[in-house]
Order: sequence, then structure tokens, then C-alpha cells
Amino acid sequence: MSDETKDMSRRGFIGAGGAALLSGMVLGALPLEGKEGAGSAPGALPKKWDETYDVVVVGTGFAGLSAAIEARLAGASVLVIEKMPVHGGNSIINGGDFAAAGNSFQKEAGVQDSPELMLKDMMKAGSYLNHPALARLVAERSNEALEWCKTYIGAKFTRLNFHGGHSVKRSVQTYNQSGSGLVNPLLDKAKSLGVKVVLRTKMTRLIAGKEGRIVGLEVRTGYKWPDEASGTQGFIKARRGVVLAAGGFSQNVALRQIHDPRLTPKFESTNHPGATGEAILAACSAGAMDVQMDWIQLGPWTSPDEPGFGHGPQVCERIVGYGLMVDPANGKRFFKETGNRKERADAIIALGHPVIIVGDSYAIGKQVVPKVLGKAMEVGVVKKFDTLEALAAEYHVPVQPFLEQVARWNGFVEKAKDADFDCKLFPDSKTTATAPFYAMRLWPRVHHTMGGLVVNADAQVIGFDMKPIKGLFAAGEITGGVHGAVRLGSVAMSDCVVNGRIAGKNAGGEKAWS
Amino acid sequence: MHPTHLKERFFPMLSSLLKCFSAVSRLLLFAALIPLSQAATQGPTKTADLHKAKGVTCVDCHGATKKKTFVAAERCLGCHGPAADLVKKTANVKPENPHDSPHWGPQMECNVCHRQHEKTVNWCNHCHAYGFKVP
Repeated sequence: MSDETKDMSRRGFIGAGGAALLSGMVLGALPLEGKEGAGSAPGALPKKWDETYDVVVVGTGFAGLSAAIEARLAGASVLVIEKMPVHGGNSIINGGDFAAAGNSFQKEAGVQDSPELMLKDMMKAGSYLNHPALARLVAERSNEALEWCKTYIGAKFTRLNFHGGHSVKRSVQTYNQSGSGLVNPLLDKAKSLGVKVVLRTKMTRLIAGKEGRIVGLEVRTGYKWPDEASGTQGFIKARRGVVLAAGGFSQNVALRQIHDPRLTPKFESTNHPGATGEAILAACSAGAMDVQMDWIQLGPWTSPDEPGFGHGPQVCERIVGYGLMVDPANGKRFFKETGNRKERADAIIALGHPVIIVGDSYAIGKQVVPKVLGKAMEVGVVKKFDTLEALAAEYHVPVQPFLEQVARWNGFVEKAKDADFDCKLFPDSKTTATAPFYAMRLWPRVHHTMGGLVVNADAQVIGFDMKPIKGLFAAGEITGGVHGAVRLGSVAMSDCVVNGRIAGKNAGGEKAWS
Repeated sequence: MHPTHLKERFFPMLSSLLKCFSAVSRLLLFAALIPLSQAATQGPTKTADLHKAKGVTCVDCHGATKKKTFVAAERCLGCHGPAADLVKKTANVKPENPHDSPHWGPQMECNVCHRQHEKTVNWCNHCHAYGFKVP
């Protein structure tokens, strides 16, 4: 099959899916190219390049900026492009938790951990669909990556947290409970090393030269998200390599419904609005293979009382194992609070209505950062009650069954063993008994697309001939295979930094084609 | 063609003439032009119109060009800055200071929210429900 035929059939498939959002990028760009006539037919090399760099990185999140820094340190001139008017993608709005096996915070707290245990947790949550070599790489290098962020990048981490599905507390959180606590120092470091970063520049096509080697990008500069006709066409030569770190596609309803038709528009997303996956499609159009695209994760800790990711998740996820999650219809627990994201989201969706999570003043005071609690209460996501009866009344929970359930839960906490759902109870977990009590409603949102581009352990993108595509690298959510069926909370940061660094180093070390 | 484009083509020429006038006469002339500019947009007042009403011309922001150009924060801060003052000015806005967000700090480009030729945007509300009034 010629490149052109392969390209057309993929376009036809996407078009037949009625993907209005996709057409903006994959199909809609074509008439413009024709009109402007700059030698940009699919597969064609431009008549002239507007700019030349050794390495071009697409995306300004954890993976892209880590790649840019390593490529620069490998001696390459580096350009980072970002389609949005703000930098950071999903990374800058994430919760700032970084899973690292055997980290210094664990040692201080006396938590026994190892890369083997982290790998075991990742594989179990991933239903053993993880590509084992990729998962192992992340587990084994997670702490080295965290140390690099602390010592070389200068990011500050201050807390050790638990995330559902992990067997121990191993997630270290940024000082400001946000991914911005790492993205902004990464950006500062990249700029100080001479990396050029431009916003409002969208990749519309990967350009392949001889034997499919990636030689550069077609872009739209001055792109004004989400207007696909905005900006000016341009061509950027990448002498050594291109690193794709443009994230996933949780916000692209049409694309996610191609892969999982159940994820209709009624499911909102936690992601930034530009997480629409065009870069994955552009890579596929250039011959890259995709994998596990239908494993799309919903986060079980978002609240229907605020949009997006919001403030709620940082309250809910801190009090699992310290408080109980209840179905307001009958006042009873229904699932393991410390289960992984997919299990918990599936259980809530199966009930068909929002549920509540409850914590007392001990759990909240011990586990939730006061500033985070303040914001969550200010926007009305978390509410405070003097009595459990008042809490039940607010959420229309039948009082007596609810009080009995709290008593039953407290019995499990006292015995340090949950006989109903095997919720993980921590050494410092206490009974839910001390007023005031706090609660929030939970309804899942689309959070992470596990699938994406096939890569090897050198972050090279694999093509449909099963071989690496020369000059093309990828890292972070745009790739598939690391997490299998379910990504564990806080492993995204580890994945992005570990693989971003590998991608950047290898792209920077690639032999220049011109 | 959209009326905004017409205005952008028209005003650079006009403003080069205006350079000859004193500051006082500029203000007077623009006061006279307000009803005309509002009629041209045929909608709610855009922030650019407020600028015009204060005597700020197209070239003041965009330079001498007939093209649509992006205006960087430095240009805005030339009059409205320094950034630290803006951070201070909105320090008591609840639940979060939009000029010192937990994500971007004071580093966001002004026109991510303060669009001049279209409805202004509350960028925070992609993930939050903050009732900011964005001028």
C-alpha cells in the first residue's frame, strides 16, 4: 500500500465516523493548503522551510518540557510549540502528585517500597495489558526522575500521599498541590538553557522525507484556539527529530466515541479544553501505529457541583481510607473506597446517580491541605455539618440506615479490617466520629486516555511496518502501553518525566538528516 | 467583510493624522467618534471600544499595520502595568486572584481573557465556576 493510499483510507475512516471535531484538523486543513498552494500536498516536502531547529517538541506539559531540556543538554537547538494560548496542557492543572518508588519521603515515614512493588501495582491496575518493558521502565526510573525534578529542576515537593490502587503511600506532592509546581520550574529551566517556546502554534502535519524519516512539521502560527482556519501556514525543519508530547484526547467526544461509543457527550471531562488528540492523528497519518485507544479512564473523584477537575478531587482522594463512600439512595457503602479509578468510576456509573464521600474533622484535618479545603468549601463542593443527621438530610440519605452504616464502618476501622469491601485502612485511620462532618457529591468525568502511539523503550514511535519511524519520538499521554487498561493516580507525572527525558535525549542525539 | 476589519483598516490612516493634533483635541475627536464605533459593532460594547473612548488608537496597540496582529502582554502593561500592581488590584477577588492563579501565576497573556474585539473570556471557568466579571 502506498503512503498516499494508506493516508486516504485513514482519513476516510475518520470522516465516516462523522467526527466533526476531527475534521477541523485532519480534513479541514486540506482546502486551506490547496488555496495557499505552498507545496503542501499530503506527503510533500515544502518548497522552503520557514525555520530550522535540531529538535522540535510539540506540547508544553511535563513530557514536552522534560524532553526539551534533555534535547538541549544533548547539544541540540530546540523549539517547543504549543497550540493553546497558555502553556502546560493538562500538566499545569493536575494535582501535582508524582509516584516514585522508594522515595525519600517514604523512607522518612518508614514506608517499605520498591520498583518491583510499583510495577506490580501498575500491572494489576492495568489488567496486565501494560507493555511490560515500558511499565518497568517507569517504575524503575520513577525515583531518579523525581530526584531530577527536585535537584536539577528545583521543583519543591512537600507531602507524601496515597492514591487508590497503590499498595503503599508513594505519591509525593508539589508544594502548591498543582502540577504547575513542576511545569513552571521546567519552563524556566528550559528557557534558561536557550530552548525557544512559542504558544499559539499548532502542528497540522508531520512531514516525512526519504523512507518515511520525519524531517519537520507543517504548522499554523498565530493559531487562535479553537478556530482551525486561524493563523498562518508555516514549515519548521527538524534536523534531528520531532518529539510528540501533545497529550491525550479526553475532550474530543467524537474521537473517544469512535473508540468507546459509551462515552457520549453526557460525560464531561476533567481535561483542559485543548486535549483533543489531533497530534495522535497526525502521527498516524504519517505512518505511526496506535494501541489500546479504547481504554479511556474516568476519574471517580470529581464533583457534579463544579465543572472540570475542580477542587473536589484533592479532598476526596485524600480521605479515602479515612472516611466512607455511600450511596445516598440507601445510605450504604457500595464499593472499596481505595480501589483504583476504573473500579470506583464503574461502580458509581452502575448506580446511575452521584454518590457521597464522608469524612469527620479528624480525617479532614489530618489529610486535607487547609487551603484546598477552604477553596472546595468556598465554591460549595464540600459542605460541613454539625451532625451526621444534618448531613443525611442535606443529601436526602435515609438517616437510620446511614447511621448504622457509619457504625459498621467504624467497627471495621477499629479492627483495621474492612470485612465488606476490603478498603485499605491506614495505621492512622480513625473512626468517623468527631464533629464537624464533611461531605461532597461524586460523579465521574473522563480523565485520561491510556491508549496512543506505540513506542519502544527508547521513546521511538513505531510504524505499521513494526519498525521505529526515524526521527519521531513520543512521550506522555500521547503514547499507549505504559498503563494498560488503567493508569494509577500519580503515575502520569512519573511516566511523563521518565519518558520525556528519554525522548529528548534520544531526539537530541539523533544524526541530522540535513 | 466584518465591520471590525473595516475599522482596523480605517483607523490606522486616521490615527496617523491624529498624531498632528494635541492630546486634548484627540480626546475630543474620539468622544465624537464613540457613537459611530458602537454603531459599527452592532452589539454590546467590546473592550476595544472602551479603549477607543479613552483615546487609544489601533496603532497604539497593534503598531502601523493593516494586518490582524497579536498584542503581547508587554504592550498592555505599558499602560496597565506593572503586573505586580494588577496582582495587587485583584488580590481580594474570591475565590482566587485571577491575576495570580495557582497554575500560571501572573504569567498569562492578558488577551487570553481580556479579548478586545470579541466577548471577553473567563479562562478559569474551563475547570471552575468562578463568577468573575472580565472587563
